[in-house]
Amino acid sequence: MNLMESIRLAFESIRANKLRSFLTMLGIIIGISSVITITTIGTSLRATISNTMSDLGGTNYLYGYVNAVIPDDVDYDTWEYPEMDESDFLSYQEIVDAKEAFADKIKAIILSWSMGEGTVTGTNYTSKVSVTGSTEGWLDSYSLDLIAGREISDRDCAEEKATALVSDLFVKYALNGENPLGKEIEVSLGNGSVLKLHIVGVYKYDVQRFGTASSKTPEKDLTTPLIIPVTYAMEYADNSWGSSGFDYLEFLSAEGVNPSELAAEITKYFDSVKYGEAGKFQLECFDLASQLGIIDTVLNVVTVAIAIIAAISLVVGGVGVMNIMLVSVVERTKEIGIRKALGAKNRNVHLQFLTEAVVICLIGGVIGILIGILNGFLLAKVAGALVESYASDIGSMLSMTVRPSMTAIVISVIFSMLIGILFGSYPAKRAARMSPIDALRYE
Amino acid sequence: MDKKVIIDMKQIVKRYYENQPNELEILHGIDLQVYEGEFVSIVGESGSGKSTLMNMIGALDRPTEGSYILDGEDMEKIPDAKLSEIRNRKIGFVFQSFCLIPRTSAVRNVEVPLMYAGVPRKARRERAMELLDMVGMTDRASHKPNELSGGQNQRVAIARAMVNDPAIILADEPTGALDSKTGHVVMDIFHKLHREQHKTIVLITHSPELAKETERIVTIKDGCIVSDRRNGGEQS
Repeated sequence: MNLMESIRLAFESIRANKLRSFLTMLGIIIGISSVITITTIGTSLRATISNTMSDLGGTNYLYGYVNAVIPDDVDYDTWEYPEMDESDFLSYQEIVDAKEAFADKIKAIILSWSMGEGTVTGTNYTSKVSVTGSTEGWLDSYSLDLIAGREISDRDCAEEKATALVSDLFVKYALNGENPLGKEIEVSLGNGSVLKLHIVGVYKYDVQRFGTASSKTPEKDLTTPLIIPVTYAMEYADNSWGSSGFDYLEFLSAEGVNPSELAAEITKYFDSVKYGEAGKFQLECFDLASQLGIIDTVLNVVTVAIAIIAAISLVVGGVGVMNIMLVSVVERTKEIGIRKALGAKNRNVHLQFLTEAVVICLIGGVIGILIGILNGFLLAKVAGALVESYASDIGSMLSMTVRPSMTAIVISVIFSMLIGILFGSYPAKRAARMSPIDALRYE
Repeated sequence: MDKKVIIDMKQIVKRYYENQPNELEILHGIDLQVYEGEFVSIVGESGSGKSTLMNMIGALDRPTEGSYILDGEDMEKIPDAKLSEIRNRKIGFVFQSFCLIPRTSAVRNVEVPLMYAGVPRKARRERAMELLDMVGMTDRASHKPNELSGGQNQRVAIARAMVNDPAIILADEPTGALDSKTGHVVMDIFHKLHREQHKTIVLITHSPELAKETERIVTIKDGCIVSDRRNGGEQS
């Protein structure tokens, strides 16, 4: 009489009392399936958000903006946000210096200088573009793929070259699909000026990255970004708002660099070379990885909190198991008596009833896990569909990832076993302690 | 008589609620020897103490006083935890109400004592089928107790009692729940076991009629043996 034997007996007994066994399991099934549903939704949301975020730049992405330093002993009644002087903006040269200073830690500093919308009249079609001055790394910061040629290089910027990086859609419609590399185009800007640019590269346009237009806009009417060297843009821009510097930078850190440490170092660097230790301004720097970490932590806490509430229902289910097992022990008093008369030891009877409780809980647990995964899957799909229908822009950016939490599954299996042991012990003990004479006489 | 003594009881006393105001003495010093191969009946009216005596013989309970040696095992020296082992190996119970495990097939019921004896599954099944064949129940092996008649159930129960080849068969009113015809069928099996396999059988009954079928009749009344006589001729 070993464990295998007890498991066999347990299945025999469960089969013999199908309805009652199912009702006993129900509590466990509901408990486990709600825990799994919730954790599946939680982990799916986290996976989705982190996927989306890393699509948007990845964990090596940082950004910084010039912000006023709030004094330690600030009195908000009198403190006013200081005006930014021209000198408080970062000049192109200062940024190039910074990149050199961080040569081994920063892969790219991406600047952006918008020149507004422009049009390019091709042979038989006029395409709309949004002209932006930028730097090497622009493609990476948007996770875009280069199809042909090269992107705008730092050398283009240093030499203020009239080069342009255009989208494949632009090539298709404005240039009739001709080989664009080396081609000269004329871009008419809103203020009447015309830029003459040489195309040096083509990138693959990704509607999800620039999804500001309604998704119903026909492809050929989309306004696609046209990138030129930032210095060239600054030179020719209609500088109506008066600044010739930057207050917002994006960074791509080099491989193997801790982004949150780098963020602090960058701030410190600009403190020392530009703003001074106690200056009015500072380049505040953030990294996507840490920000993701915060979202992750919050979601984690919420998931765990709800899962704990669901786990309480498991305990209720466990009490149900104990209840039924107690009834079962009384109902099977005679059987216990017979078994004892025929040679069952107390521990044989104990093991038999305990195994039965554990097996019931385990079966309930497995069914619960399957239902939970299914629920989580459906709910995540519904959530994805809802987002898509109400906010098509975001919807297209969020591709819902459904991922059941393996940890939750493993814990659930162990937990349902523990419930079986915990709530099966007392009934099993009662069964084992029965006197064979009394049990035999029981009708 | 040089036959081996299977049941050797000396001055067995059983008291309930010992040292309490409602102390109750059921057996007042029973002396009983049963020899190997005997077919003995213990007869007594209800309340005579025969059930209590049966519990003692069957190692379901311990005497308050006196010594009991079952097939060479001094029961006094057997710890509580080992009593179930003694029952398993030495005693084959046959009960009035059959006491088969419901919702379990006949063959599985016969296997139960073998399971607790630690016999492997395959050997168990073979042995159980052998015994079912002996009582003529082979074709009903997979039937559950509620699908069998009383007589059939009792035959399964006898197969179960025999399965571990016990020292004694202890039958408690085995025909009590059966009509006279099936009762005879069951009694015939006992006679056959006795005759052909020389099994030691102890039959507990309130019916003098049934007792007459056995070799030796022990009559118990108010917790004492009042007569113990050989039966002239075995009825068969």
